[in-house]
Amino acid sequence: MTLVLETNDLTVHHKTPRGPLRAVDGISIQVEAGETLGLVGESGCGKSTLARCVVGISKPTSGTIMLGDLEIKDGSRHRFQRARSVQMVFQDPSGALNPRLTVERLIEEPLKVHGLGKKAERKARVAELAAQVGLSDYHLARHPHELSGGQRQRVSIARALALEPGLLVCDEAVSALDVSVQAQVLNLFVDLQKRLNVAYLFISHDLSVVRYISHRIAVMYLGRIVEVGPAEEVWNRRNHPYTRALIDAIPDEAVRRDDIALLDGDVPSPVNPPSGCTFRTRCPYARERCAAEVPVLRDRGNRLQVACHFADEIEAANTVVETVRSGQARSDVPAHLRAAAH
Amino acid sequence: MTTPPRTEPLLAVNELSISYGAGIPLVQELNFTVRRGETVGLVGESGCGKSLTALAVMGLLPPNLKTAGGIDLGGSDITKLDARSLRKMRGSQMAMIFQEPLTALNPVMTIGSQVVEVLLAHNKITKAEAAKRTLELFELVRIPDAAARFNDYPHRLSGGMRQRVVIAIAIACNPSLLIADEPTTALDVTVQAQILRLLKRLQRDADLGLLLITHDLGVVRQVADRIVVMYAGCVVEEGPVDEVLDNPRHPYTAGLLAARPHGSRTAGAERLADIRGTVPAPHARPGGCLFEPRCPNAQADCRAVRPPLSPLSADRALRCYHPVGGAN
Amino acid sequence: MTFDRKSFLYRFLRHPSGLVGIIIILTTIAMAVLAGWVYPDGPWTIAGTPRQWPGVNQAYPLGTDSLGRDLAAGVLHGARVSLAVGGAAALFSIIIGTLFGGVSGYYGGWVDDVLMRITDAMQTIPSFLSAIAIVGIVGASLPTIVLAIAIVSWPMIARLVRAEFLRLRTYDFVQSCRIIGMSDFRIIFGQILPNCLAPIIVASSVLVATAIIVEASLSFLGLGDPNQMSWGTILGNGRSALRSAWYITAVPASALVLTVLALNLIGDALNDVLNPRLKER
Repeated sequence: MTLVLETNDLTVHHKTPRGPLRAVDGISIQVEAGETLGLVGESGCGKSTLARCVVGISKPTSGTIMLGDLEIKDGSRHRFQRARSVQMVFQDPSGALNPRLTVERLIEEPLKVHGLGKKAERKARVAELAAQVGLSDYHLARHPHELSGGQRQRVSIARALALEPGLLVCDEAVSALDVSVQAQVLNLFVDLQKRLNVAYLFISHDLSVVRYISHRIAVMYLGRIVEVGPAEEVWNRRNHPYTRALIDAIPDEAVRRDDIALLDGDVPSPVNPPSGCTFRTRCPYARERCAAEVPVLRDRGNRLQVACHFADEIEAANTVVETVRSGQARSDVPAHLRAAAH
Repeated sequence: MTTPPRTEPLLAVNELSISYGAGIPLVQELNFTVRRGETVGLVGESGCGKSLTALAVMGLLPPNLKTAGGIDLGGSDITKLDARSLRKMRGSQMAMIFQEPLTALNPVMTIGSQVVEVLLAHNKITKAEAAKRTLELFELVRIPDAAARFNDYPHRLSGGMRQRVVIAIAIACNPSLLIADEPTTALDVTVQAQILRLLKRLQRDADLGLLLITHDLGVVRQVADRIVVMYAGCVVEEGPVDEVLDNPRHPYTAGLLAARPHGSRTAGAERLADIRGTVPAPHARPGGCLFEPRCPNAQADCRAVRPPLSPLSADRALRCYHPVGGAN
Repeated sequence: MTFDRKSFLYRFLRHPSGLVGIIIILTTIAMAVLAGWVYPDGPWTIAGTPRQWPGVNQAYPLGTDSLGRDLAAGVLHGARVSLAVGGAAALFSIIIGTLFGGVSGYYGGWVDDVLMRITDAMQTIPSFLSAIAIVGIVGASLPTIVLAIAIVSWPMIARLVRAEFLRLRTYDFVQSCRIIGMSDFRIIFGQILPNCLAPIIVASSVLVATAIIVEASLSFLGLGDPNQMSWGTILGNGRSALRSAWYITAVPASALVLTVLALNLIGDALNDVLNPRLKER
């Protein structure tokens, strides 16, 4: 087991007139070679800031980042070495590609920067990379604006893979794409991982996408990880009330669900987060202890870790609800029951 | 699910076509109706013409786009109205909620005064009455601590609160038709759920006709009664939400449903069923069936003549020669 | 929208201001190029009777000045000086301005603060006065005049380039270049700069026009290079005879006005062609 990424108590605080904004507040994660760690959370939870720290375009305030054997202490100094171990795929496929360059030059650029191969060798490698992501010679001569969103995202992926990094950070990499194209790109990610054994730090607000693609899922709330574990453990056990709320809020095209309790209000400001457990202001289980004591990630069995004082209680309650609901969904509730639920 | 009452349609879009310049068709032969108390979900991927349709209904299309056909709202044809009557209709009979609440609000006016302004423009009431009504509206859309929020500027609010303000403005003058264009796409998932529930409640309470435009089939299932699926400017399938989503007949609808990530691949979920290729550009649409180049069921007759939108049952229609699950 | 040379040139020439401007400028350039061939003796030689009005003598189509020098020779050779000074000064200010603006906009923070304070300081000095002061101290020669003009006009370019860099550096493609390990130098000059050429080109046409005017003004005041006959020099010479022989002033003045106007027209046309979004409004 080799780790391609390990962060240790990483924090990023931005200075604001009203005090430090804790974008990332003490995060320790590990990603193994060939593994996908999904990172979910709502806007402002710090998932993008974390991604930017990992690839080196933001500087952590404290904490360390290990990329394989490369330990990064200062944010910007290791740009050149770091590039061989980690690359990034962005959300907006049009903004991530220089509009003046052809696809061929865009994919070749990292090879050139690192002086890999002679001109002819680079050309062959570009063709190989393009084929790997499903682009043809026709596309190589085009400019980004002549391609569709999905094709542009393929160019970004080919460019990111050019240096054969062990880790690819995908920041909302499929969020801007239409559903049918999103499926193509997700399939591509899966295929590439099988073939190249590349690991993904897959960041998305869409829990069903993260569940599909990830081996493990980490749920973030206000700069902290509240739950992390194998994808199906996180999804099925929902030990943290926030994870549960996130899953419940997904509009499901298979079942109409009007009966679920929704979270009230919005995410509090990260400048002035609540004391103790930051989720307590929206949590249906919140008690006195939550305001006083910050919950730490605790093992819950089967590699699941949850940061909640009452995880035991919630898991027990969930089990009851789940049995009832799964029975309902499968037998397709009779019409009179469904009408009553509305 | 209760079936909506079979009354006269509130909004009837008849053979609507929208084209650009010298005849590049963006929307073609569009037909659908929205009844009072009914929510119709207009679904499709980017570039299918769903947002253009919304703008056309609001009479807000840019002048370089030409329309043909009719849009009948409460007895008058929107495509034939002059600017003044249109302005009067907007707000009082129809209102729109946009995707991005921040740009839909004026950044230099307090949220309270923006609602007051709308109320004063459409009603003969005093400022004090308008302010009182504004507070009622804020409570109606569940803005907590409404009185204190009245004098806040839009940038001080969260995305969800802003969208609530936009909804308050939209329903301020009791329109009979509400058009929501991707109202929750810019919002977080937990906030999206709140806003969807709010929209649905408002629609039920006021017996509104709601035209919900979205790319998300899940959102449609939660909110809509009927669904209209658009592809490349045309309706390909329509009918009651539950019937269409549980038993899609058009290969495109079926493809969209299958392309959504299901399950976890670590727990044995299958490879996602993607739809090969991309949506054709408006000037490069095929002459036959629009979906034929991407369709797994395509045959020679699909290439020859574009299939018509033909009724499947009393309230379901389909534009396909070779539907999923065999021909009828 | 495609941005290949052909369609750009086509659209530029279709633009009425662009066409007129480019015709005038090409004429001026032709004058400058042909000056040595048509008037090999140079503009300083006394050719004939002083103060001959234009059209009186076929040999001197634009007349002669108070000392009997051929005005046509003066205008043609003057075009050389004006264009050379204008072009060189604009080039220098673009180089200095782009360096300052680019580094400042890309790095931000204290680098930006320091560089922009310097730029601000330069902008508060009245440009023409400081040009006079520089020429007065260093001495009047073409290179010093070019330098003086460049020194007073680069802050405008610096501000423009900085604004473009501030906008472009947030784009993901710039971040992506940092992530692939590209050096800041290559990002600034290879990635961002080519994307803000359009506004720089538009600004530079105006810059050339300003430089030509400043040079003419210096020469008019007698601060020009004494060995170079520029349009400003002729203007200055004609000043004393303004009442009796106004044509001596009018001839170089027309050349100056037309050239500056043409450069401004080109600037307008470039602005419309390079920023198509404005045109659609």
